[in-house]
Amino acid sequence: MKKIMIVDDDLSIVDAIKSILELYNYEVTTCSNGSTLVQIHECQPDLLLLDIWMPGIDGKTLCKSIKEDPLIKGLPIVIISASKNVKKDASDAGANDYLEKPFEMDTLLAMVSKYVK
Amino acid sequence: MRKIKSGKTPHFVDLGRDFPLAEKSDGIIALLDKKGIICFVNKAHTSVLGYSKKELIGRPLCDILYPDFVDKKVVSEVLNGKKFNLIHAKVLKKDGTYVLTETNTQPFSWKHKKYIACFSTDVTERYILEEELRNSKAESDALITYAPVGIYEIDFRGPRFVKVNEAMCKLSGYTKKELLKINPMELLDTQSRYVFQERMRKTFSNEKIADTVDYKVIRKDGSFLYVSLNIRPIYENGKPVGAFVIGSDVTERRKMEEMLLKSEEKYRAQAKQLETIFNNTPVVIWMTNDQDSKYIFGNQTANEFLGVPTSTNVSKSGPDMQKVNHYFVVKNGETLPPDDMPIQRVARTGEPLFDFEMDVSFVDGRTKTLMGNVVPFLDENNHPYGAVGAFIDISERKKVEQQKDEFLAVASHELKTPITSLKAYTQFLAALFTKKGDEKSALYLNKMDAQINKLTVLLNELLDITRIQSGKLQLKLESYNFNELVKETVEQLQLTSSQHAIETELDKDICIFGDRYRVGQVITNLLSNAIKYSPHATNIKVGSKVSSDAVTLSVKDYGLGIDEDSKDRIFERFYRAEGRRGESYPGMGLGLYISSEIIRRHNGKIWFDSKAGKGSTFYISLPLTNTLQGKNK
Repeated sequence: MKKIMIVDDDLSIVDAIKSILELYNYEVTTCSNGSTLVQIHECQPDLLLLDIWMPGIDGKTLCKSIKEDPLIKGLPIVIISASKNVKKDASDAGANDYLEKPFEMDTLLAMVSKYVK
Repeated sequence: MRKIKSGKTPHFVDLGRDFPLAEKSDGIIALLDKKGIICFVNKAHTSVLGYSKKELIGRPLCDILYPDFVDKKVVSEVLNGKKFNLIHAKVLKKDGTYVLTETNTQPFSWKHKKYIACFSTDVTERYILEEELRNSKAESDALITYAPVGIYEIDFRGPRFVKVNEAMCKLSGYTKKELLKINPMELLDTQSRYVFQERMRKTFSNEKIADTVDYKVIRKDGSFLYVSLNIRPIYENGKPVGAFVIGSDVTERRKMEEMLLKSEEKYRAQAKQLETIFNNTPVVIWMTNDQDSKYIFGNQTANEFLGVPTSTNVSKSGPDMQKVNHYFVVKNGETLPPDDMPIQRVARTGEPLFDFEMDVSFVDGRTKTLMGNVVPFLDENNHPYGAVGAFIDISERKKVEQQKDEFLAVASHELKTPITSLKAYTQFLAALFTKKGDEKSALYLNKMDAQINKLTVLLNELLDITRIQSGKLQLKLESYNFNELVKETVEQLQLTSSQHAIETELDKDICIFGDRYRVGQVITNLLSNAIKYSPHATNIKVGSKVSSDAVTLSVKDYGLGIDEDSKDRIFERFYRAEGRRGESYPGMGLGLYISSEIIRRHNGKIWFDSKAGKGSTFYISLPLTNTLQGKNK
């Protein structure tokens, strides 16, 4: 089973996305704090859904450090954000793609299947 | 022949701009300071004597006077402020010849300094004539007739004019014939008549006559002028029987004297008014009167702003710079060197600054933001000689703007987060029920989802309006394929309506420069309006046309159309369409307003054709070459 990791400070969003993805047979791990980098190394997800605007965590820096880490730099990252600037933020941070909140479930599923074959 | 000493003028300030009337006057006018240095000469002065202003201003008057001609005592009395009428002087011209003048002097103060104003008339012609008459004793008729000054002979036994010349006719406005019939005294006003008779009496009885005076002459048309008269008695058998009189028009000189006195009063009154305004306006004002801005003074508001006592020279470019090192002017995060500070810059370059924003940082850690205009003082040759700047303190406004920006960002995030999870849960449940075969529940959940979408649109519109109002609608500029954007948007909107077939007929592929997302938002708005307002129609047509300088997109529906009353208002904020039977349509009436703002920001156009009951066609046109960089705010 493909493993997807969701990092968002809003637990209801994490839970809702998790429910959808599990319904479509993905394995989901979640994280809502700063120890993300350690967790990624531990559970080796196939895709990371990352909110870049979280209190206390700089999502952009996290994204960049993943892309610079030789062991996990191949991990596809999709930025999810409510900001109008999400497209630019995603490309600045070196992410693979972006989803603007709120999004359609179909768009989420299409995005996931694009990176997790 | 004497010549003026050559050499560099020590100090040259042209006061011409302070005395525009004097500058333009035909009378010869000069201002001296208490030491007899020439401070100002008008244009007539330079044209009569042939010196440029630079050659004269700053020099002692004595340099151009024939010393043997003027009493030194008189000169020193003049400089001590005594008022004189009709001093005769011989003045050296640049070409080495001379001019004879009659001069009135008048002490005069200007901008807190004392001057002597000298109003002169060139009487050289008259003197030469008198000289000739004295020398030849034979009155040359031709000479008299065509002399440029009024000449006449009076017989006191009339009294009547015996002879008058052309210039006299011109002066008085009467013909020669008329003059010969008039009592010469009738030409003078009452007071002048008395003075004339009194002086005649003194002349004949060999009494001493003080100064010469100006006489007021009443012309035929009722206007009057001033003349100065040279009178030579004519004796017959030892008895005075008449006089030979030469008169020059000195009206211009008199006018200038009066004008100067009046303008001085007016100047004082205006200066007082300006000072009152200057010190009581709640605007920060700084001013300098020198091009190098060595001295900059502020009004009371400015002094309070900088926390300095009244009359402090706040220039950082001048001798008092050490006294004002408690503040710095910062522009775009960098401290400006004194010469680049706005007053200095404008006084030096003469280029005005408008809506200039700067931060004033104080050493105690405070920072204030000022915004204002700075304009130069220009002389008649358009050279700057100072500047004035008026500023308002916009620190509070800046703070509020910043808070508004922060609010927008937070509101956007905080409102969208619950919508996102609500939407995700709703769609999850719909998918779950569908999997379980409970189509009915799934249908309700899909209806909920549609309402959540509406809520999202409304929220976005509300945020956009706030952005537009605070000037924060940011365009993210890029080059994009216009047809691709149209096709994508049509595909998305087609999903929302199974009733309408959206047909497209697009012109050739082109790339244009602009904000793809925002233009997409406009197309979405036009398409969703077309769907919303054509509830009984089955198709919508989308077309594009590329011209040499623009691409035009049209969205045509066959719906309700727009009635005449509403046509002027549909791009207004909060305008909502109503159906003919009073049906209302969802939305806050912001869509077209936002669309028109977005198109306007792209330097494009938005308009429509519509007929009530037949449908509407909306058009947007966007320029192919867009110079939007720099306008991105």
